[in-house]
Amino acid sequence: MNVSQRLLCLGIGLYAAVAVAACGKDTPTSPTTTTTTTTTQTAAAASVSEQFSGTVPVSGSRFYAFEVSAFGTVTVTVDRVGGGGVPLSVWVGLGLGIPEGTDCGTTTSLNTQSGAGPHISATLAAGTYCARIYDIGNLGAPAPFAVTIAHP
Amino acid sequence: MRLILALGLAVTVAGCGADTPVTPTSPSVPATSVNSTSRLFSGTLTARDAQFYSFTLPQNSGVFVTLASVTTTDDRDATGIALGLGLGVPRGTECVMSTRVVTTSALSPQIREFTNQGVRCVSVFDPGTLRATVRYAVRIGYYR
Repeated sequence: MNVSQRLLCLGIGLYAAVAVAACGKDTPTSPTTTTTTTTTQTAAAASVSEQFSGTVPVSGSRFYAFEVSAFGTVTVTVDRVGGGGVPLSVWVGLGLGIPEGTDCGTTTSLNTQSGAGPHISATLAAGTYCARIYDIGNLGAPAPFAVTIAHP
Repeated sequence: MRLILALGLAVTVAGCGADTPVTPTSPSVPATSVNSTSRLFSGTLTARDAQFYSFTLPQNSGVFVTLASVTTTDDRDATGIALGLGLGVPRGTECVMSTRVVTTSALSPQIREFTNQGVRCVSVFDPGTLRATVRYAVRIGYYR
């Protein structure tokens, strides 16, 4: 083997070494930083007002279903309860929840008298909800009532 | 010499990226389970009365409503009396129906409807046929 043949073999060898070294060697990717964006949803103000009135039976309850069209603030106010033999200062139960079965399944409830409200205020997602007024053992006779529900 | 070069190049190029082929396998199919639920809505209905029952559909689903039984209140004999049956959404103090039928009791659903998730209601009402109070039983089925 003369000098030129040796040089040629050396060139082939080098080429093969480079080619093999290139196989399967992907360029490593630098890790990137993941940015998490948290979106804060703004509660819509009440834009609809519904009047719920009737009579609370002794030991009974009444409920009213309504639709909240967007995530926002819902308020429930007992404007008036009593009359017809029941004192206007009577305490009743008031609740907010979701219609379930033949009643309103309340998730929030309290005892209250009528007056300036709101008596219940909650931030709710869009959906169907209900307000419930009920006797907590104070009624000696059926009590007329008026409740205002405000929601988006 | 050129032949040796060409052969070397061909072998090198052919060797690159030639991984052993893998025999394709069938994608595994997860076992699908259908969870259905059933509710019973029963009570008594007087002339010109209407009653409703609310429930929450956790997902879009078919809803099946069956007026399964209408009986007398005294001896609970089956009657052939037709009642109103409806499916809708609770609004105010009632169920606002989007579908309604007047039907006698049966074993298969009188209302079958695909409904979006959310709170829904089934109403039973007197369509003007009642002369006396009756007992009723309604079965409500849906997927969850």
